[in-house]
Amino acid sequence: MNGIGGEAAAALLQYLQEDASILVFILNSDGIILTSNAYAQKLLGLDPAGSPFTKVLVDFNHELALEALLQTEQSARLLNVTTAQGLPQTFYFSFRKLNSGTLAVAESNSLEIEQLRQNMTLLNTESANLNRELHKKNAELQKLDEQKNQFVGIAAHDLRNPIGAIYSLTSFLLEHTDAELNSERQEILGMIKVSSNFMLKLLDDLLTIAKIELGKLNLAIQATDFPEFVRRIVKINQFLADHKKIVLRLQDYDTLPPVPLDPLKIEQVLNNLISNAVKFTPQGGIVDVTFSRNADSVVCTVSDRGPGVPQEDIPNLFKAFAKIGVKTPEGEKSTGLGLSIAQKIVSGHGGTLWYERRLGGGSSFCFSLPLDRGHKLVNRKTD
Amino acid sequence: MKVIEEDLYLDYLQALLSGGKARCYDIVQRLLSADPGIHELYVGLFQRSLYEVGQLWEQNRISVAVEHLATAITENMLSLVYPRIFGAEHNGRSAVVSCIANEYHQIGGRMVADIFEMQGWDGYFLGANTPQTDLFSLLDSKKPDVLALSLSITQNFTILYTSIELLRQRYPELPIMVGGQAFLQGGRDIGERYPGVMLVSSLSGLEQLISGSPELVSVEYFAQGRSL
Repeated sequence: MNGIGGEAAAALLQYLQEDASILVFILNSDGIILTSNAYAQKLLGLDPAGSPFTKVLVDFNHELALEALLQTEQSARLLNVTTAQGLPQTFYFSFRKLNSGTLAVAESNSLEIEQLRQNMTLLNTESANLNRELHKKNAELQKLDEQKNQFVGIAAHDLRNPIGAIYSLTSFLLEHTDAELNSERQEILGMIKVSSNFMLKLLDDLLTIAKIELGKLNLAIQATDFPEFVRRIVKINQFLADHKKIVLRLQDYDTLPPVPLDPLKIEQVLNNLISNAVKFTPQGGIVDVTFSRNADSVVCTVSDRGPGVPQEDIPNLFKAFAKIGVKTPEGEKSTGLGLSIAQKIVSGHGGTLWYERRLGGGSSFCFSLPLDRGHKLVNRKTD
Repeated sequence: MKVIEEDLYLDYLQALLSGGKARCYDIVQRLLSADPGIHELYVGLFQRSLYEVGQLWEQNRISVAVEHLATAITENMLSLVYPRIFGAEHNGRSAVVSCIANEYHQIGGRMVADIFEMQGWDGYFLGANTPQTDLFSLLDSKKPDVLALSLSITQNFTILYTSIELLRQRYPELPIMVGGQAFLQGGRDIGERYPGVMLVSSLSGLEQLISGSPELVSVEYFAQGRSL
């Protein structure tokens, strides 16, 4: 077999030195790089002549023994080279002993790279298709959500009248025919009244949620004397707390500028927070209502001395129908929608509603309202 | 509908060829905010640039790796348009779009599925190299009004014909449209070869067919040997 010699050998050598996409290093007997080809210098971003060969390699586990590497004439030894970008690139190295050193030649496995490229392409297309599917499903879910809200709104509206009639007629019977009813029947009517009242509250909450989620949270914003506003609400709620002998304490803050808010909606928020606090406070306890001013907002806090919210329930606290693992002391019922509605109303004002543990036990629910609504004015579909 | 300016198109093409995803992203976002119309983005930017990339590859002026990178970037750019596409009012019609087995060039098919969405159809896309059984499975579950098959490589015509024959045995009344780069080289007689199969050779032709008179998407109409 004829070898490559003469003019062809010279051309091949020139090709290896100048153009070939393989790495060529010539090392002395101490493992110092004497020379390298153009591709090696381009990949490394420098001329490595004079450097120890190990310096161009990435030695992840500090276990590359240069002597062993050079003395064993291994072919296709897998080694990583530090590129100019600082990233390792894997090559298959072959070492050939010379009279006074070593020839190190390295190449990439083109089949492996091709396989990798194909796999990356497939992964990318799969990811792109999944992304498309995700967008499509998201759009479908948004539509379904709107339909659900419309359905809930219609159903709640249509159920409200007959249940309102049950409540009114039961109240009438209890008030006007008590002499004709024995105590057992009075008790049954009482249960019907309580249940229908609860259902009315639930339907009202469902209607509110459906309206808000359909983007119909229409706020009638007006500049409001916040201390006076809160005092009035606390006073009304005190009547309702009296049956549990609970005291509502208001810590006043007099120097507030008018706060832009929808009084009916924020009253709904405060009523919800105070009634929740009363529900979770044992007989004879105290509920604190405070408010203060931050740089650009007013913050109102309602604190109780109840059992507090278990840590695992906190992330779900403001979700509709969230189940909280704590019962009220007297078994008071809740629709499970109040906090969700309150959060959406506060968010619609450009504010935030959040939960904090009360020092000494119990819960604090705080909400902020911006003093200057300006760009924060939000009358939109809330999250 | 605004036409994309030539300088901007060339800027995008250059970024696409050099792997400049961020630049491509900026250009597409800028165009989206200027609202040139989704059609113009698809045809005037994505399709045009990919055709040009394909030609450069065929002329051995860019490597297949560059071509694949340009495709991958375009796939990402398409996602930017999705919030505008999905969520349109639907007309109750649906299309399944698929690449046949052994066909790995999927982006044209994906754009076809998106065009269906833009026109109020449900466009289900099955992706590259779809096995026949997967296609049957989706057709059985979605029961679409039309099936669109995409073909980019002329070597795959035999697979396409076999696929159509199997589809016809199982779904004799299903209108089938075919399209893709391969039909620039041949196969334009497919409507005569398989009645009920129509060649739709451009995204504009597809829009024209499904937007004005969706009822035209019928096996009878397709059987007249038309092509768009």
